[in-house]
Amino acid sequence: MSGQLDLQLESYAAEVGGQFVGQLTYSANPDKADTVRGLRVVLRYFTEGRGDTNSNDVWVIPVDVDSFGNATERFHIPVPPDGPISYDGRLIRLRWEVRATVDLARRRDYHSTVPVMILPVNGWGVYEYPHPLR
Amino acid sequence: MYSSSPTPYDPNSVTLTDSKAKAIPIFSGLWVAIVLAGTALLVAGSFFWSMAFLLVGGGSAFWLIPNALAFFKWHPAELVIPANAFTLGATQTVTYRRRPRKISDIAETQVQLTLECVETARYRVGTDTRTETATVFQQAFHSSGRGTPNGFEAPIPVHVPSNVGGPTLQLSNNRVEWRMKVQPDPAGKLPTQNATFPLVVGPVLAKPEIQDAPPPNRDSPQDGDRY
Repeated sequence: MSGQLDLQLESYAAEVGGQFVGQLTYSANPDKADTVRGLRVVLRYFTEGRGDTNSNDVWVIPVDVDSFGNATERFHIPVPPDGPISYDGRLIRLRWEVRATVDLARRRDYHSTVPVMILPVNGWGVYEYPHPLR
Repeated sequence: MYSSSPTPYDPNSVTLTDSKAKAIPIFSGLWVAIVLAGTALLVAGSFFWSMAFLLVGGGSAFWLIPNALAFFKWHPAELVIPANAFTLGATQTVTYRRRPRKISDIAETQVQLTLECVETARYRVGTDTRTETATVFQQAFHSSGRGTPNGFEAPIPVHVPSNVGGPTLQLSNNRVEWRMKVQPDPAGKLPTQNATFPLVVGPVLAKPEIQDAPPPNRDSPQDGDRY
């Protein structure tokens, strides 16, 4: 691996209209001279199940890298007020995740991904699993 | 006796109109054209084609005539719903309304509203696009209505469940949609055709549900989580 990518969140669930707070740390590998072209944190959703996948990066935060190729960034990602929420239906499942991506010159990008759950308003502390309630 | 006064304006509600009713004049025109064409062909001596046209006209009359009669006697069915999106786990009241085109007596009539939640998934297989649907929730609610100055009105309490279905979702390949089908009792004087209305359910959980729900037990994912 070209470096160490560490993505930490304070909470793994949020209501629509809420936010995720976390920290991204990237430490470049001093033994390799890889050039970091970009570093970003993305809040995204994607569907699973019977239908073809729909996915959307709803919020993207670019992170600056210092001259040594390292970065530490504390971030706040807002959750859209109109959802969609995490859902576990019969034909459709909708998942959310926070993903950090390192874009390296002439090398494959790599990611660190944390699955999260988006809840309806008033859903904080009620849901163990994605909607519907069990 | 009740007149067909215009719908009263209420900023806290939205009036939906049965979109199917708009097609009735178009189908009526087509039906008249088909029957006229069949008659003209009969006069011209083309027995086979005239019979074909008249059979199509006769067959479609069974569906069209009751709908056309209802259209000419009544305005399209309406459903008055709260202006805000519906809430998961809450009971909200909608009002089914049917206004007569002329002054008429309207007796008390039973109305059935069927609430449905349908998931639709679209996927490609080779060059084909296929669509699969699943009705994940269906429940009937009953109420009765009577004549008012605005026509026939039936308030119907509707409960959107929190343990099945989900908020309205409109993605290109995956959809969760709610709809309400309303049908008056055939024993009444109202037209008995179904009227279908869409319903938007928002990502909001009704507060009373929280009291019945299990207490929070963690705030981070653990092994065995399903997401």
